[in-house]
Amino acid sequence: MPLHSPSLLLSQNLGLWIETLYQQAQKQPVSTFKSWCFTSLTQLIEFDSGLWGTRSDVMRLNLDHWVEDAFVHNQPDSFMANYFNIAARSKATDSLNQHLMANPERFFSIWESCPPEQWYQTDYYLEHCKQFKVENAISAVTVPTEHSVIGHVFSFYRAQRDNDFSANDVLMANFLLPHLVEAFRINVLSSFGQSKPKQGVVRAVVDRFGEIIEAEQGFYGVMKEKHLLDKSRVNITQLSDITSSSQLKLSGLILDISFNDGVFYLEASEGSLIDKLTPRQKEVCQLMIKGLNNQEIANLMTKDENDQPLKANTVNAHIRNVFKVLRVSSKAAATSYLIRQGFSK
Amino acid sequence: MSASAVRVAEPEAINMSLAISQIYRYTQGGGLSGFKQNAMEQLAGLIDFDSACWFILTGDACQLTSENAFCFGLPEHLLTDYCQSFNHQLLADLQQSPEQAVITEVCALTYGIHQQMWCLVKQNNTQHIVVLNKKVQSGVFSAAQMGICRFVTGQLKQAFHLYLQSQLKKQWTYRHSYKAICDKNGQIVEAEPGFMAALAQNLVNWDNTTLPGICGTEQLPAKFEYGNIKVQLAQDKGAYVAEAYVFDQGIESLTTAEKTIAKHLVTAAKNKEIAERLKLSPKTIEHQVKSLCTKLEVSNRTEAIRILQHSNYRF
Repeated sequence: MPLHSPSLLLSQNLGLWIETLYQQAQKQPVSTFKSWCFTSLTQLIEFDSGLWGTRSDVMRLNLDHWVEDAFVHNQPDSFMANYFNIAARSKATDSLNQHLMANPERFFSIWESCPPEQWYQTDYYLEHCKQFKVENAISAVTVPTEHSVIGHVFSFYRAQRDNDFSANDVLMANFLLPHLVEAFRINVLSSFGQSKPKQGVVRAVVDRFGEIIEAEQGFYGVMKEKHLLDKSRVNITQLSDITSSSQLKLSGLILDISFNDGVFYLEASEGSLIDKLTPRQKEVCQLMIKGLNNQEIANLMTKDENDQPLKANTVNAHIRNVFKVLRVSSKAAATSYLIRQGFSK
Repeated sequence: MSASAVRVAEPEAINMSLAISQIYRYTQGGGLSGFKQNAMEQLAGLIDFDSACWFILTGDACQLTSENAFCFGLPEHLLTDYCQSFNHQLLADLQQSPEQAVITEVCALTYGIHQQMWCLVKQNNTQHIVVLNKKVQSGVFSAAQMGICRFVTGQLKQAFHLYLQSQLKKQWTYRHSYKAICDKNGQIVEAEPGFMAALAQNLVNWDNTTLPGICGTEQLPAKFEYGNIKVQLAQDKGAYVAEAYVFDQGIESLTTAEKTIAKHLVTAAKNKEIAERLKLSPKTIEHQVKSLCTKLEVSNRTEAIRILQHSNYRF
């Protein structure tokens, strides 16, 4: 232990920054929150670039997909790929990772936690440092707790070799660590607070392994019904290959997936029967939900291909078919379904 | 360097950081008293005190009462006493220097409280006052503890307002409504932007801070009419929630029985089915549907369903 223990100045500015962090967590969409954090963090800690990874198997440090899953700040896309290329060739990353794992929730200078002869003096790494201007770094991991299945990896990098992270910088980073973790959780939770995109949609945020970070009421029920739930994890094998936002169809569910640095925002819905209606049937429906009878609908409809006015019987036939498609047996039920599904332009 | 800056050693700083993050943990749901209880427990982990109180004053109010107080380890009768010793002078002093060690004589003599620390922070028209009490045996508050108290009180304030904001995102009775949280006298503490806009449109010379006519309302939920919008005031988990919605004459005029029928009607149930569910005669239902249609000015139930589903009311 150093003789003069570092101390933290609890100023009003730091207090205000924490207040702003939580406010933004509640305001920002999941997609921009991490980016906001890093940009704003530069007010408190000096760094040139950084990294924030989020996933459930952080303790196992499974390297697959970290390239897509980590959020990198101020670094080109090739940064992670290059890092893992070196990692694959050098055993020294092991000793770094072991050190981080043995001391979770604390920031460490990479030089400190990893003897130089094992790590940064390898030609590969020196090249990497030069290429991406990573000359000084502090890193930390957090581990899943009883409240959360998710762990995080943070790194801050400086471009100047002689500009070392001071003890106070490390303390500041340690001070902010629990706040970044908690704010991330609030950010995910409050994303459900926004109004529903559509009736019948349930939402959840999961990681690459399907571990549910947070889920909205009703999500577990729908997933269980479709046999897509395995304890606290959704069983969607396709997730492991996803690297951009996409749509999946599984067991009759439509899953809209937005991908954000390893965090998957899922919107699951049964899909609407309205999409199965023909254009002509939709036209009839538009008039039907206004409460018109068949004759009135016929009068308002455009004429058929022989330029004859439509007969009430034709409308009746259309409506019978609509009933079949929507699996209902009355106009009232059809109207109720159509309006609930947002069918009224 | 600001006057309230305080140096904290490493282990203390990390503890504090964890405690503050725990205060924010409960901002996304749950009850208000649970949220406050947790927050004060976290503060108790950082500063050594015997009892504490958290007051929230809105507007120009200068009265500490048991209604705006959250007590932590403090007997009710003691609260009444030091509410009485609070006055304009003390409030002005607090606003001048945000943290203070004050001993009010009543407390000191009667209940063995010999050290008090008052801390005040302000946000918009809301003032948060945290008071920590110590018995004489447990010594005096240090300057560092005052600094910590000041720092944490700021976070308590922010967490409280985030808690209210997240409450506003919940769905209430009306579908397309704007919400605000106010105090008993109609002072607005937090509001959705749409709420302020809707009221500003409908109230002439509005002061932007108070809902007129609410002061002294005893019975909740209550409804207030401002121009073509109505505001329903209800109590939810210790907060007063005002919900503003555009007023729909037809639906407002439905009786309770008709609203119940309407709830079943929108599911496209037949009269017979509604009758079975409500254990009423189909004739009664038929009659009520007819009167519902008359009130909504429609000629058949399909039209009624459309009106009901497009309406503001959440059935």
